[in-house]
Amino acid sequence: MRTSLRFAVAALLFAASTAPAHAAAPAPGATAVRVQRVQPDHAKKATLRFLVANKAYLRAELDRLRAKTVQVKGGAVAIDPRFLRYGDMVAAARTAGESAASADSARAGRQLFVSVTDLGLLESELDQLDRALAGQRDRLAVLQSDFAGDQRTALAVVLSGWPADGAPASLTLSLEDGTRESIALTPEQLDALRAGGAVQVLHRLIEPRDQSFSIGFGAASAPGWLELDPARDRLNLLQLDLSHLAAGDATSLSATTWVLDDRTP
Amino acid sequence: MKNGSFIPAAAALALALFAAPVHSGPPAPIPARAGLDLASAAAAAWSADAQLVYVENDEDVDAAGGAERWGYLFRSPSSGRARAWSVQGGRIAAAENVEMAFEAQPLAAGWIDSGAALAAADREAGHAFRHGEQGRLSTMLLMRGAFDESDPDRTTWTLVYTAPGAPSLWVVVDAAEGKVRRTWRG
Repeated sequence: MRTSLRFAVAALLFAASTAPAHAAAPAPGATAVRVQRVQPDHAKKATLRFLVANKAYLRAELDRLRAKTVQVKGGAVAIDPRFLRYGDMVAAARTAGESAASADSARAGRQLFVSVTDLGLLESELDQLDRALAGQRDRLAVLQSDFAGDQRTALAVVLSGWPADGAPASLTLSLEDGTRESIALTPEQLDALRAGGAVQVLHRLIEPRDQSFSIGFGAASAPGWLELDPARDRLNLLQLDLSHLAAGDATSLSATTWVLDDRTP
Repeated sequence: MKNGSFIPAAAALALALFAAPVHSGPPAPIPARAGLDLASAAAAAWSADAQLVYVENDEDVDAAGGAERWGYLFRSPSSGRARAWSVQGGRIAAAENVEMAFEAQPLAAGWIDSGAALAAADREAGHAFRHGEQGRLSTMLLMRGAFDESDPDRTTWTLVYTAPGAPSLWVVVDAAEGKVRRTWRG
């Protein structure tokens, strides 16, 4: 019984200490993304034609009204009650942690369990740990429903592979809205790539629409264009395999994309 | 094969042919609010402080106030930039940066949808204009601080009816109360 209890505790602690790592390897449903030399060309649909055609008129309308005083309510707004609850949750988590630490130190003081009474005491301590873990689970569930359940459309870029002539020191992503993301690879990230690992170099919100963006490895090398249609309100992963990257030419990359299924079972 | 079994088989084949998936036509018209959620999601990715400042039909408006495509303009006060997304058939059909050169104010929440605004404008003057002048509704736009100088803080729908050889009809509808505030020809 003692052995099985210890095993159970060890398993629980191990499970708690290993954070749910996002899989670096593409999921089974991953699809290949073609990296092209030129930007994919799509027929552009006109939008806001009246605004564009009458911009000067609308501006004059607004300017005419600018001098007028407008009454605006400046009162405070109610604080979201969820935010007030987080303080209580932190306090409860600390209390549970301190209770567990106290029980642990008391147990460490005893050299030997000599009687059935001691075993009973141990079971009681384990029950206390169980309750603390259950409490943490409940608190995490609250946080998950408040935040993780509100996943917005996001893109995570993951690098893997080590090119024959060495990995680039940096890369640049240029989005259609004009945003440029310049990413310098740290020595630790380069070590991870060299050792066969994968590193996440970018995690940001992205517009939920079919779009293209360019990726480049330094000013002297040719950029490549990728087309992506990210799933809305999900974390979309893009893995760039650098194994065949030659002279920084981005079109020699192989790329795959998939949607991370991070919903709680 | 006996006739008795042939006829049901032929009928089943004909039914299957008629029930075959039809090629999807143009997307169904939607009211202006129907595309707002998607456009807002894109705007949130573009800028954390993006505010909706303008809505306009990108395709013709039907009798119920729906359009196949609506355009939504957002502005970021921190950067001063503006970007538009056009939503059609549940997808973003176009996105582009817009040079505004003026500070459009964010729309007030709770604005009435395009169908209610069109109904109010038609009741007041639009219906008579369409039939009297052989006109049509060409533009519906939603913005704040323009076309209603008596109360510039209001968010209003402005409907522009046009007719060949005649001055256009402009109808301004309060986007909170659904009442017509102004009409003029020009």
